[in-house]
Amino acid sequence: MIKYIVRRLLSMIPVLLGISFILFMIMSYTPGNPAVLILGDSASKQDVQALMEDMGLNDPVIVQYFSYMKNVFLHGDFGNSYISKLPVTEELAARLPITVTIAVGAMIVMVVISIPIGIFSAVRQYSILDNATMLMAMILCSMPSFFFGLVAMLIFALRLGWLPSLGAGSFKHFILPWFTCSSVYLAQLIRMTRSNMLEVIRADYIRTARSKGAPERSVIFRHALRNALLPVITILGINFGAMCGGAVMTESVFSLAGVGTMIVSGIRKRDTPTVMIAILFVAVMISVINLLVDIVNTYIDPRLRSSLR
Amino acid sequence: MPGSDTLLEIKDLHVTYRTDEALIYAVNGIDLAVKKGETLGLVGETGAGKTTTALSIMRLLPQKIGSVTGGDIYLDGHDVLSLTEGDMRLIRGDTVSMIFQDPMTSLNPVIQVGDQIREALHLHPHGKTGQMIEARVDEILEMVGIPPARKVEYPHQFSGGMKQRVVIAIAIACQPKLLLADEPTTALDVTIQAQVLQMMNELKEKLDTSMILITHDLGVVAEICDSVAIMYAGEIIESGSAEDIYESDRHHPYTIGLFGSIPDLTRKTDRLSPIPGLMPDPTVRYAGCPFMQRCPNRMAVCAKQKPPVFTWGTHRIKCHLFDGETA
Amino acid sequence: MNDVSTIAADILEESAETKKRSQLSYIWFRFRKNKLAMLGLVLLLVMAALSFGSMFLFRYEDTIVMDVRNAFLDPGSPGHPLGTDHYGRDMLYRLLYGGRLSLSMGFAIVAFSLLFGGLIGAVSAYYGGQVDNVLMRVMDVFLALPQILMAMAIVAVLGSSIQNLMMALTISNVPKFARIVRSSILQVRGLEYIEAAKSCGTGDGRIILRHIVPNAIGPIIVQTTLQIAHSITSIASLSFIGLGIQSPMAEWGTMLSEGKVYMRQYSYLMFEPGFAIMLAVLSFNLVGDGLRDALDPRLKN
Repeated sequence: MIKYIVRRLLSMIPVLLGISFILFMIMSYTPGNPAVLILGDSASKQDVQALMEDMGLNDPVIVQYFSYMKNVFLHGDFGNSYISKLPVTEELAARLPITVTIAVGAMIVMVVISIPIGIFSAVRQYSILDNATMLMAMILCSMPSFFFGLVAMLIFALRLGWLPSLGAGSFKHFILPWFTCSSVYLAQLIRMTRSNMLEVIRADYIRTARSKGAPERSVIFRHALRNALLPVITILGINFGAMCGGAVMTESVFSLAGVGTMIVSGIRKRDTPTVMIAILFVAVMISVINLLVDIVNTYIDPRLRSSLR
Repeated sequence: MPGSDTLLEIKDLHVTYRTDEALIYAVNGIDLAVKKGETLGLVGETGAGKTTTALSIMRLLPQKIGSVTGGDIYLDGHDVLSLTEGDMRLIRGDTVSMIFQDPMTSLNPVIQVGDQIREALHLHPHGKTGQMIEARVDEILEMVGIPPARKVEYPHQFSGGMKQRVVIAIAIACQPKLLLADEPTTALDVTIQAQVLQMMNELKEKLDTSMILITHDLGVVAEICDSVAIMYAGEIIESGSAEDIYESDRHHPYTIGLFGSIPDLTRKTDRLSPIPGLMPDPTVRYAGCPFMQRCPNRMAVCAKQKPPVFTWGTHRIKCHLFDGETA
Repeated sequence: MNDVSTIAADILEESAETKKRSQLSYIWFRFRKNKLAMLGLVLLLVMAALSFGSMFLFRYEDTIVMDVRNAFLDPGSPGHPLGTDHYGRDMLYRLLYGGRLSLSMGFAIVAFSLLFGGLIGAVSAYYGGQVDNVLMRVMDVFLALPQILMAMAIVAVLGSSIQNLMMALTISNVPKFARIVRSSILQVRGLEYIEAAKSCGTGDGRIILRHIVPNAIGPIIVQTTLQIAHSITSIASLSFIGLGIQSPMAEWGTMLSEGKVYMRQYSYLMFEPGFAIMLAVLSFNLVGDGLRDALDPRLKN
């Protein structure tokens, strides 16, 4: 098991390096001169030239990339923001907790809510509850998450006043963001759990369980559920990545100072170092969660376990 | 009224399947009886209704799709079709159990093999303690030829033949009075087939279980069955003791075709002789004999009237050809 | 001339032909039976008809001309069935124009990513080995980032205009389509009737055209439909945060961003574009699901 984890961690490295390379290449073509951005419009031409030389902006892009990576690996230095002149690592550290809270919280909410609903729907197939749930899931699936967030904000914060609409002070502040971030994937997960359950219930081994005289409760929870959930765990990993993209929208809607808004404002202001570290952070977070999901998978699915030995 | 040594009696059973597209008449009025300790071979082509019959005995037809539309099933004194689901669950696995056709998909992939056997015993404890149940699990595994140490392994760690033994172990765990074996060896290699059949024979003798063996292999039937029933298109067209079927001169034309279609290693032939034609459309209810279109001896009356059953002792044949002979 | 293998090949081809013809009508039959899928299709056709048909009913200027005296007219006011926004612009015209934008951009994005991604995926599947390895590793790197972020980075460089937005979203979609096409082809290639066709002596080109394409294309079409829905959402998302279509152009996401300011008093400014996006996405999702169910040979019972 340890070997598996180490192997996976090692394989993450080339992917992250690849991302950093591609991102750096893309961002290096951002219009505008970083030196001018830093010094301001009124700076003299010589100062600008001097700074460009200093920052290595006259070197070929590949060289700039390697120098950037060298700084990252040797000094943990991701550079300073062109706008605030402060180290971008500080900015990231300040915003990190919010984004992690949103993303991880959204995933937990998603799992806790959609799996029971999906199971219930499958067991009561074609009933009114099932049809209503499927309809609502379909609609939720089709709503852009930020629209859902705005509507939820309107209803629960502004009209009903149950929940706060802005800020990140307490647990209550995150409830709407969690549901907003996960909305689309929650709906997808409900449908997926339901269809997996329906498929598993028709399996031969379920018939075997019934032929032993097992009560329906045991058939569903002991025999069907684990088999139905196996593919769900894998999907969770894939969806988490997409959901992180959605976290950007959620932060925007609820004005939360997370990594997502860092990316957006960084892009608007052409602040390349900020954008680089922020996006890299998201990539790392996604890879780590994917690894965790895979580990959980090997624990739950005995067929994977023996292939590891 | 069932006799004292009759374990199972089926009277005029009708079963239909309802799908989105059609209504399928799977079983159209069969009568069947199995005595204590008897092994009945239920023979027929794919789609004849054999599996449906077995599932009906256990009331395991796919919910919402399959339903018994007529007839009675009496098992060990119980009127099976009118039991509550709760009472039926007490019977399933305990009084009657089933060995399914495909061992690859009949076992739950995420539960240990020992647990799957243990579950059957826990569901019908009959006063056994946990320790006694554990001992019984080991005992059964040995009976089917699996080392008890392997009970903590998962189904994917066993070969096909071993998987089928596990399925058999689950089925015999509670020493059922009636064992329904649905083509238990079809999915296995020929050499494993022989082993598994022999094991089932021994078990049957040791435990004095009645068995219905569903198969399309006449050779297997000859080896271990006491009586035989031949099914075609949801009807039993011939039945009797093993001697009746293998040694009598009288047979239903379908039976003759079945026997004739077995390739004989000792005789030299240029062609195989299958029965020409295909099974009739199961969504149509035929007024006459279902075999008529393929029957080399068909007569005018075969299209219009269902043939009555003619009896010679234990031998029963459902065919117009015997009209006029003494019963 | 007429030796056994060519006769056999002809028979196989004929049956593939009839299989395809009756398969298509069978698929359509199954799709028709699915009420939700038909609803989606109807919705889709209605939206397309409205958006593109209305092209002749108003000009682009009508969607951006400001008339502040008539600002915030409620839906149902005379001359403005869906009301006017904070600048007095007619909401109905703006929504229709937005529909035209979203639908045509969505189609174009998916068409191009299918083209490029499909090419990569097909090459990968066909050559296998090292080519496959390298291509898929590169795709994996792109896929490790959420699509939206990738698109954002590209928009950052190119600037936000309709064409740049389309390019950014196309590029971010290519890896997904490459994977889908590749796995679809690999799945079909291993099937037994391909071997059967080969053993009859059918040539490679024929195999690809007659056997592989018709069967691989099913899941690809389903994914394409669903990706159009996803692209519409992405366009709106990027516009919403200001990195996509800019004001005063009437894109649904931009309209949502403008409307959210007036959420309290004039919530219709928010709901109208929001529902428009939802309906468009819903219709594509329903059609995509319906196609998936219709193409799946496994009966539901």
